[in-house]
Amino acid sequence: MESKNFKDRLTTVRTKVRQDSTKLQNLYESLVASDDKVAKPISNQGTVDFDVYQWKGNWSSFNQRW
Amino acid sequence: MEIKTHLLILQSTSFCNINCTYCYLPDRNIKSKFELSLLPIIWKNLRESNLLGDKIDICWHAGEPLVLSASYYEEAIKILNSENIDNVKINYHIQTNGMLISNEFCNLFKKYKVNIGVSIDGPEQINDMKRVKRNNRGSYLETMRGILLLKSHGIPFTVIAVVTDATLNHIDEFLEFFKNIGAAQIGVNVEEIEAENIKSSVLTSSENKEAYHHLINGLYDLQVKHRVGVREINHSLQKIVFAPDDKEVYDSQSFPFSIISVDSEGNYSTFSPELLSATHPNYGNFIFGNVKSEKFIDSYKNATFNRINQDIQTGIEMCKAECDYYNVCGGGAPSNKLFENGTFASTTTNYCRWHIKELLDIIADRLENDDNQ
Repeated sequence: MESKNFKDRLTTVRTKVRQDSTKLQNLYESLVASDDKVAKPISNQGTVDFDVYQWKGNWSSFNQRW
Repeated sequence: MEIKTHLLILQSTSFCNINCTYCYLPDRNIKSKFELSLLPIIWKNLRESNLLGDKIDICWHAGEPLVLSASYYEEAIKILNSENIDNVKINYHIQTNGMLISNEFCNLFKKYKVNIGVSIDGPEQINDMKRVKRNNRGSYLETMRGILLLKSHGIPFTVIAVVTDATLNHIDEFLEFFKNIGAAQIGVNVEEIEAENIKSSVLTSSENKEAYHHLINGLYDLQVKHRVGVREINHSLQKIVFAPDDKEVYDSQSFPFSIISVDSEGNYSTFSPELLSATHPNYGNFIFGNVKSEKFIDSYKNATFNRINQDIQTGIEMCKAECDYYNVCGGGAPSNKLFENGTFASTTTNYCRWHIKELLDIIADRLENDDNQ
């Protein structure tokens, strides 16, 4: 079943994941493993630091079928 | 927002050497051929319509491109490169069933860094249920021969798999196959109700829900645990986790000329690429002109175009007003709205219930509840 309030859920999930640096790093690495368009981490340590992360993803791609 | 064309789909031929049961292309038996003399006209048209940005993806699709020769595509690329005095970054793509890949094609792909997408639905028992030749025999072995040739040349490739009822009956085999195929990324298209394909074997039956959830969870594991890129998981993670909170969302299928599709006769369309060869009782066809005689920008003088554009924008506004998933989705695909709801000025489709809302819910569940990922 679809969520009754996905907007709030999105905020909750987003906040929770961004606070978990291990999870965030793992998710990020799964992105770059398959998509060279994803922005590279720009912290000095080479890790994902969300405060300085520059997203270069493409908003227009979510309904892509080709 | 200033729109530039980011994707130009060229139908080099409408002909396809196979006859998939779910195919939406009506002219797949017709051996048409896109004349290369149209390419300078198209490029000039893009420039004069102010649609050229910093980069563009040019994709040969909507038929089986490789029934034409490697020399045809080499000539096409040379023409486009020579017309590109604008220094636009051009990325070339070919979407193919892979059956006709040859050493000659591989040399071309390497020489011009052509991005190759192979259409294959999984292991033989899944693929050959729907991806059949005209003699009704499966295409799996010939597609795999093409993939092995790409790999022997060191050519990276992505795959698109259509999910049908055949997939849902063999999900573990499907996941295992794509875990090992060696593709850079897997795109998963749920069989849609679209144009010639008037029924989906997945979207219309609630009995499929449990299996679909199993599939999406498996795809999530492919990406997050096994580092096999899955387009749908990748895009969802980007939007749920990594995108800035205040980024305005949009879908390029909803804006005129962000995507342009040109058929083998030079007729052009925009919005969802699937509209290029489609017709509908409420709108007629979706051809807005021919590149030989009209500029893309001239479409704004066309009453049918303006009606379609207005209906699409109305549909997007309706999604924005009433759908909780809009901030991730951006309003859905116009083609799904049309073929499921009968009008672009509409909202929810079965496609988005399954492949946007259910998908995002499952991924949100995993992000919230998985401890070790």
